[in-house]
Amino acid sequence: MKHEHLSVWDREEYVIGQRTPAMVQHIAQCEDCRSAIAATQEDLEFFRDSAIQWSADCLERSPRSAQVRRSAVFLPAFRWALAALLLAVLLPLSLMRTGRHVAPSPQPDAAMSDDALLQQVDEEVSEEVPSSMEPLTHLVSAGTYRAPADSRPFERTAEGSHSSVQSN
Amino acid sequence: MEQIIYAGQLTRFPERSANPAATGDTVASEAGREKARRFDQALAELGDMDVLYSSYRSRIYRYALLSLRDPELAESLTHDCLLKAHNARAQFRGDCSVATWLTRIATNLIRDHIRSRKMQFWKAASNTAVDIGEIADRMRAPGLTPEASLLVRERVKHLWEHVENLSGNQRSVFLLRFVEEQELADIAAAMNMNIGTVKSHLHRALSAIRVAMEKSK
Repeated sequence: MKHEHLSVWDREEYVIGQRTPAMVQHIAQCEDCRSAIAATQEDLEFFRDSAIQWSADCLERSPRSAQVRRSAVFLPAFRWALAALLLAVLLPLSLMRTGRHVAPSPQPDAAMSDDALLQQVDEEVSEEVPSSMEPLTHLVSAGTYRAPADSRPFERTAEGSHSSVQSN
Repeated sequence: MEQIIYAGQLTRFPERSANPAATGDTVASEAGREKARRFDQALAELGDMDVLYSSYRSRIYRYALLSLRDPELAESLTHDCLLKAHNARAQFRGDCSVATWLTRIATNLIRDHIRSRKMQFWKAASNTAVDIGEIADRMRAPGLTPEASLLVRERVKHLWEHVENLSGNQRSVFLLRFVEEQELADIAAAMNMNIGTVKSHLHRALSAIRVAMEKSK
């Protein structure tokens, strides 16, 4: 009776795990095929064993393992915390600076002299004769100013601006 | 929600109400529930870096190490792989297991790395790459005599050399099947191939190794 062995392809199929019932039956009965497949499987087992052992050894010796793992988890959190910290420090500082610019405390004397000066400028502008033609003794200082008797449209505007400045 | 659907089924098919567990609809809904539960579990795993590391690090590291033969590079790639998976967890659709998804990411990273070097990495390994003899020496051979152990180590060393000479795809498929012991369908999903291609690569790899091992005897 002719006894045919499994083909190389079938043996490889068996090793890969693609086993048919006919293959399994043949392996159970054929010593040659069984030993050939067993030799291949043994080599692959030793290969796998060495691979797993080598990998485990490398992983165990890896100094970066713990560090990398920690950084992977904490690095994003650390970045956010740093950003929040920077924001917490910089925001009040910038607000303080802005506050200083927005609300300066005015000096009362300086405000009065400013008002007088503004009123004087208004008057100078509204006069028919340019101020450059007038003697410098016409200039007044804060506290000695008197409004002119005749009123013109420009002077009315000047009065208005004077009152608005004073109200501030 | 499940109760509402089930009540609808009772209205339409009152004769099935006697044994609802035996109906195909109920079995389908059970399968759907199980799938949803696994998907939620996978998302929870992907969302927790500690779980990812403790569950999958050694597996991905081993795959990267065997593919690149460089411990430092493997460590870095493993870290990248797990971080990428964690950051891209919203893209996980549950078509495969988390392990398969991670293997796919690792495979792409390994491919990218090898491409970026524009060379067969195994043939021109970096300074930190490990000698094949050293790998074979790690093999445990309990119960063998020193002579037999030496012979086995020599065979394993030859096997490593032949695996080194495989093409990139053949080697990856070979490692996933015979070291990671993954199913062909999982390998196909991880490598983005169909099962027939995976089988073809495995046959070619086994054939090349068998021929080379016979020659080296």
